[in-house]
Amino acid sequence: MNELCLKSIYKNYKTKQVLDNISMIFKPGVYSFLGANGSGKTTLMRIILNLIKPTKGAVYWNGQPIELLGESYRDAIGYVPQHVPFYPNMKVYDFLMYIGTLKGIANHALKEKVEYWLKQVNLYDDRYQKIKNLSGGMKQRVGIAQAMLNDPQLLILDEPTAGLDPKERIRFRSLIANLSVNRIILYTTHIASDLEGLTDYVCILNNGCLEQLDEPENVLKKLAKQVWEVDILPEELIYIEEQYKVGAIEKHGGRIRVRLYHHKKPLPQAVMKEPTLEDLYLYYFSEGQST
Amino acid sequence: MKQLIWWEWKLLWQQKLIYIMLVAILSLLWISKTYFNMSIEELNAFEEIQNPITEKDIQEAREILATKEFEIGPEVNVFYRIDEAQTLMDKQSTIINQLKARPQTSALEKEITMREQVNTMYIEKTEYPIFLSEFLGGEGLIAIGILLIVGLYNLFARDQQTGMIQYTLTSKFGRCKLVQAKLVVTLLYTMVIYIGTVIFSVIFNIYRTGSHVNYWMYIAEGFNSPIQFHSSLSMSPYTLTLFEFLLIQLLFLLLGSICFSIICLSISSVVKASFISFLFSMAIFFLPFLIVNLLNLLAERGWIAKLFIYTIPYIMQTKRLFEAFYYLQISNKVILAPFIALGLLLVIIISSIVFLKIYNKKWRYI
Repeated sequence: MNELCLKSIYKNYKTKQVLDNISMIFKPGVYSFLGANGSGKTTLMRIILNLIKPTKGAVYWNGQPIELLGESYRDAIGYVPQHVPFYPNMKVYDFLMYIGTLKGIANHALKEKVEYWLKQVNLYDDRYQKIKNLSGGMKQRVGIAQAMLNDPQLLILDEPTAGLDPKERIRFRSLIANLSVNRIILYTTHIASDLEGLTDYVCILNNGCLEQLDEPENVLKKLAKQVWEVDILPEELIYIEEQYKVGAIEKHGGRIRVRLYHHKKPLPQAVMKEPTLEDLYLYYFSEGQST
Repeated sequence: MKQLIWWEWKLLWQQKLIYIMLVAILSLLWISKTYFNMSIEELNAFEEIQNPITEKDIQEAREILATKEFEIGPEVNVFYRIDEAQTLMDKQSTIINQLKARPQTSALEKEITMREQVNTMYIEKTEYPIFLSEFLGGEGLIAIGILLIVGLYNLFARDQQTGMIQYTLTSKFGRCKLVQAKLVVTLLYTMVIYIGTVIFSVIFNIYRTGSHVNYWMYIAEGFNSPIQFHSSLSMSPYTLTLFEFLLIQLLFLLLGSICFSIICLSISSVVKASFISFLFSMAIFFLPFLIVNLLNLLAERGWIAKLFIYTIPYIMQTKRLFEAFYYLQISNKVILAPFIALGLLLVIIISSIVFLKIYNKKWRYI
């Protein structure tokens, strides 16, 4: 069984500390990294990918430092960057053939793999389209297809759903769920709802520190009996926001339904709710504040 | 690896700027082309000259040119050429005498020996080889420079700008194999540009000189003439025929092109922005020409001018290396400019390749 191990990872950019003593062990499963913008998620992913060097600490793949593994480690990786990069005039099929070539896949096998993954991500009919003409969701699917060409044991998805509409996000989530068998999938996002029912472990990164790493149920236990929903008048909202940590707000008839987080019942009419991953995210990162 | 080279080759040729520049260069050449004109009588007059030229020929030519009643006829060019052959010999003798008057050093001795061997008493219709040589060192050189720059300045920089570098660095082949592939593609592209330019130069100059229908039959002539008939090389101390000089020029043009293209590739791998990479490559190729022309350095032939003949574009041009006795003396050993230039090119090529390998091995995304 494959194992990825991070040992005391620190990363500084000049005087700014981006990552602070991150140690983790990953085994096959989906690991979701939740964190606000600038929390260090992308930096951590790039260190795992050996794109950048940590200031201190090391990454091990099956017990070997990735620095020493080189080609064999890269052969085990699939990476979907935040914004799928491409040459502007390249067609989908050519792009996948090119990336497959970079991955060292022989031509005859590559053609089959490209066609297989084009069908899997439902882009076969669009294979001769230029990538620049595709929608955001289609580009992300191209990103997934290129990452899967070498059948990676470690799949890293850096905010893959950013900029996608809800329908595309659901489609993308199903695709990831299908790929998650016997692989380590590292998934960074700040859209917590994408992770519901998908992730095996939640990692919360806050200002470069690992706040939590646990199964979603256990992580959510910390929020148990702290999530409340209350219907208020619109003019009461300012007061509520000043007094409590507020999550989702939605219109409900002539009133406003507010989700808020507090250790005891905040208002007489408040109803206790089961915490979700979105609550967890908002609890930790609302308005960039940490708790 | 072959697959990767093929892809890089395909991507290189997808750059529209290459085709735009190619069309621009061809259009400019077509608009500015000049023709060689000589009447059939003049051409036939050359046929009557027996090489090498004798004292009798010179005397006869000078007598005719000095005669006031001389009627300007088609053969006048032949007499001028005979007179020029003697004048060139006289110039060499004058220089030799001046050199002998100075305190002798091993460099002076070498120059005197070389100049004593120069023999310009040989004339043919040299128009085609001179046209070809001038074109290769002029328009051809500029075309090679521009096409190499537009083809290569973006080779690494575009990966950086589009973000494609993230795939390269996380895929099995990695940056090192990609560098190898891009290096092979650079050399192939350079060869295509070089061979294309040489073939074009040969054909285009046949067209220019052959526009006078009667010159076609003399196209192959003139290659055995001494290089001193080449206007830029009249004072050259080298005993070379125009054919030998053309071969040397082609060699320097090839090595210079390879050297320059690897430098362009190295710049592209170091500089992250395409535009900066483009500017640096342009500066390396065109700045020496610009400085030399602005300061009129070659007319002075001072030490700064001597330094500039060892810049890549001037080495590629070749004729500056042969126009005078440029040398470097290490203890008693006199090394002539062409050998210095050759060594310099080889050192730059090897060190650029080593740099590319070492730099990119340690390359990181940030």
